[in-house]
Amino acid sequence: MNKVVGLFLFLAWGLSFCALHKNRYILPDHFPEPVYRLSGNPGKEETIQLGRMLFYDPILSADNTISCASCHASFNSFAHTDHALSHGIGDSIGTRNAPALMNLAWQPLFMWDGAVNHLDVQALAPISHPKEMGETIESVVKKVNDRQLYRNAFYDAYGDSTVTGERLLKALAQFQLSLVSANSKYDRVKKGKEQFTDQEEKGYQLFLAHCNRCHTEPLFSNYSFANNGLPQDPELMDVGRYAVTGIATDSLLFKIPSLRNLSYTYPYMHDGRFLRLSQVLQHYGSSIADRPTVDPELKGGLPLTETDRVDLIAFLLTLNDDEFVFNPDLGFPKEILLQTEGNEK
Amino acid sequence: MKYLLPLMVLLGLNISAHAQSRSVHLIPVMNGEALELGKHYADALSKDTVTVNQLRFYISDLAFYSKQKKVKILAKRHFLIDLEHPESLQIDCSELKKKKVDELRFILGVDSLTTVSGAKGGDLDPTKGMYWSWQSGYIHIKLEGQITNIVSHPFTYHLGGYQGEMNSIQSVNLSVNESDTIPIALDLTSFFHAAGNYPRTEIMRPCLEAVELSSFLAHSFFVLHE
Repeated sequence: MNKVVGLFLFLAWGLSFCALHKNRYILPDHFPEPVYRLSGNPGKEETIQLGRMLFYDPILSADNTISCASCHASFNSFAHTDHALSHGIGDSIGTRNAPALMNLAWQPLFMWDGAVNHLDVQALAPISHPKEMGETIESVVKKVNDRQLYRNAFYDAYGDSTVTGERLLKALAQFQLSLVSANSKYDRVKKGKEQFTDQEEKGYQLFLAHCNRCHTEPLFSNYSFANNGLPQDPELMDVGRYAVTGIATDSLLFKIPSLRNLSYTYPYMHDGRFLRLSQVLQHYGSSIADRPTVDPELKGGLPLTETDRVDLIAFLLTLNDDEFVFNPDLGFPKEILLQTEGNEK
Repeated sequence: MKYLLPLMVLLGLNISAHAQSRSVHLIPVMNGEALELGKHYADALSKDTVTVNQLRFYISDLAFYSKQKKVKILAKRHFLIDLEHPESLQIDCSELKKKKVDELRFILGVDSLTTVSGAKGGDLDPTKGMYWSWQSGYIHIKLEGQITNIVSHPFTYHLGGYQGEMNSIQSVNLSVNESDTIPIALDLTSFFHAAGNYPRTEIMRPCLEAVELSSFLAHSFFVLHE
């Protein structure tokens, strides 16, 4: 009997190790079930690090100057802050502001208009866009395959040094899936480890009354699409989700972004038109455009006093997760990409 | 059917070569002969000259039936057929073994579930150039070339779409005879007759026109019988 118990315990220990090794992803207890089918791309440290290398390497662009991190900077919660509209190779300026990358396993659709249906294939869009990276996935695979550093990394990740489009994209996805932001003051309050100040609590109650329907906690977005009453920019003429679906009621609808890490992800909205949160709340209070597809609950503006706006901002700042934003393990992998400078064959 | 004989001669070698295994042999044809990329084909009816420079398409879930009952569905789900790679025109069906069949069915395109399931490899790898980067989804059919009638103009048909009324995936059902090699012709003459008066010669996004053109192409498949 003791031998049977011992064997059982040994097997259980072995299986638990496998589960830990398979599930390298962080899944916060207070988050819902992820949308991304993690079993289809099981997290592995070597693959995540390979994805991290690719994320920070401008080899993905036609002229080898633009990396994913060029628009998705770690110290900006993987958003783009130096311009309203993000820019790419040859100083090309795009039509939208790059959104923050965080908690991606919980998002069903990607891009401001939901054009991309799976995280694995999102990278194809910026790689091939003429104003972003201007490359082709075929060329990227060839360039990566020609570098011994990457062939070694692909071997570590996949047991085989061959670079394919599928493997490259899935490695990028694995790194992005590891970008989990869930340790802000709000999260600690929810776990009972801290308390809101009175002002933050007031702001939280205002948030629940006016914002939570779309920016639903704990992800602070329900990741659907809405027209929040922004007047259409007459130069950009961006029609939002309508460009993808062709459905009239999708005109001027854009993906509802998460409100986490707002101190780091300015400017705000799909075209970066607002530099400050006060401008955002001023818009919601009194500048909602009168258009057919505007969310009915926003028409006429939200009833927020000046004090309400200040309290609301105080609450929103509790969603900043410094641990995530300043995590060196998510930043530029200098220990990998720089150590071979001048030495690589 | 004057072009059947030369096509059967073309197949003769293949049939004898594959007598020991079963296969499906896809044969794009134009004006009664096997289509050659870059060759000019004059159409007696329309007076157009058509040149095809690229023909690629996916067939999926190739399944064999006998008396309306499914006998076998191939283990490999998706095949990228590319006229530039003639070996892709032969689909190995040896897993069918000696089962009797009288019908085969396949999907022209990539099914919706696969399309929403992330990055795939093999024939579905995005490096194959059959995946839209700007809006997720496979290009089910790529057909490019030139049509000349006094003036020459290019046509670029990248037919895709998997959602709602823009879903251009097509089902193809064909009756077959018992044979080790099943020759399936894709009659592009018939396709261009149907699509010839199409107002748009550049279709590169999910749309109703893509659905209609995909349907024309699906109806252009037929089995060559001895």
